[in-house]
Amino acid sequence: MDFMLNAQYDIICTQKLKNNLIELNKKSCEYGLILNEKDADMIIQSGKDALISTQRIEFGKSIITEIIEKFMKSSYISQENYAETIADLIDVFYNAKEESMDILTDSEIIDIMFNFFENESGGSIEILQNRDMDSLCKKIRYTANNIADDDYDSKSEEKFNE
Amino acid sequence: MNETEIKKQITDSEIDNQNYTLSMLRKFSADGTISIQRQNDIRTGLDEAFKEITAQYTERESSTISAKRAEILYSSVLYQCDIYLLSLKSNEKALDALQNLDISEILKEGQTLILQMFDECRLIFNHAYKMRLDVQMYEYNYIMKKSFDMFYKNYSARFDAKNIRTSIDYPLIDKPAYASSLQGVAFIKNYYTGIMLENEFCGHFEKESIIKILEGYGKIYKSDFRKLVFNISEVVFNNMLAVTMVRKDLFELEMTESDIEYMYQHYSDFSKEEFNDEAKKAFGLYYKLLKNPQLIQYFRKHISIFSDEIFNGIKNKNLSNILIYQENAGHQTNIK
Repeated sequence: MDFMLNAQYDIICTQKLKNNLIELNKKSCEYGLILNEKDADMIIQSGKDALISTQRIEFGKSIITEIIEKFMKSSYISQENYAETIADLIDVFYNAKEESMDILTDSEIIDIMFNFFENESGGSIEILQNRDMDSLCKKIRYTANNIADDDYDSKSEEKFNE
Repeated sequence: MNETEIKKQITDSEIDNQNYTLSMLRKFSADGTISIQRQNDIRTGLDEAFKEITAQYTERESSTISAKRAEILYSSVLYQCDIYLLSLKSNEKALDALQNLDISEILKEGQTLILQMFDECRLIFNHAYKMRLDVQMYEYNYIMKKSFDMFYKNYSARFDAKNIRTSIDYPLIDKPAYASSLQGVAFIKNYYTGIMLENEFCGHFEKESIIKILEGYGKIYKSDFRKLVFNISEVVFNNMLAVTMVRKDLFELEMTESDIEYMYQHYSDFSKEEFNDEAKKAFGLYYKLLKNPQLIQYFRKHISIFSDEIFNGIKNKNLSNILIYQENAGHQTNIK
């Protein structure tokens, strides 16, 4: 047995998650949105792929259900593009987590994504990712780095008297 | 497998002290000493501890974490186990703990020890600081005035236990800082214990005598000693013991060219072992005067290195590169 950091944490607990996603149909059907098993499998696989590509490890409850619960209310999502859009949004989410240096919480990112998606990017994943979220994450990194630099400068200014 | 068989199986070289728990688990899982069921229990326990520490780190507001940060957090979990298991001072006892104690118990004991060590570090440092040397040597002053405070302020035993979050370049006697097998708070405790003992030792000498020796040392390297990185107490000890071996007063540092000549003449026919015995006898004269058994033990370990260096210096006729001495009038000197 390997006792290194458990690889299970980058594999979503698949069957349970799948059941949860299907269970969400009870809510999403109010918006005319339903996921079948194949959709659920595809979404879960997208989540795994996104974790691997962003080099992140999942240790808590999957974020996929939160994303679905939020975005099922979107005016830009229809049954035709439902599963695919959710899969793309998961990708956007993990990229944002990584690019914002984990400064934003999960809920903050999902709320920001939804607001941009509905009010700025006109339901376009491409614009959401490449313009709105990228721009926000750059500002966050810039601010964080400036704060870090200010801290470093103030410490460097201390004269070390020999 | 009985205890005798287990003892035969565990050799120090097989176990990596820097990753003690992992090293023990790997070895004794592979050979079946730790049962499959027990391995599963340990695995589950470590995973649960990792999940909890990660949830705390993210303030329970994230479901994911970067792989890099996850590795650091997991290594902190393992560090807690390492500290407890290493405190048992026996690979056999550590194996027994891994086989029989709940992993949460091991972690809890490790956390307690870490907190204890953290408090002890402050006491040790305060003691070392009171006895600090008044020498204008950059690296020495840095570890006395900056390094510890940075560690104490920034260290996170919970989230980044192996990282001391400070810079330490000043070496201990016989050991550069980076060569320590210890990590985290255990390293700091060990390091500043060494500094404390070295400061106490040097406190037996007048400041001016020490400065003179250090300046002589700098001359050997054609540099200002203040800018060099070397262990002060080692230079002081070497001269002190050499002076004693030439049958001078105790706690004397100044050697003359005649003393060096005496060493060449008197010890040239000695074997390495005989010379080493003489060095040990010379240091033995200091036991009652140094008083502190921990200090005596600490410097006694240096004798074999001192002995090898001086013995080779006598054979190669290059003691002038090792010891600081005043040459006879009219000659070049490595002391002002």
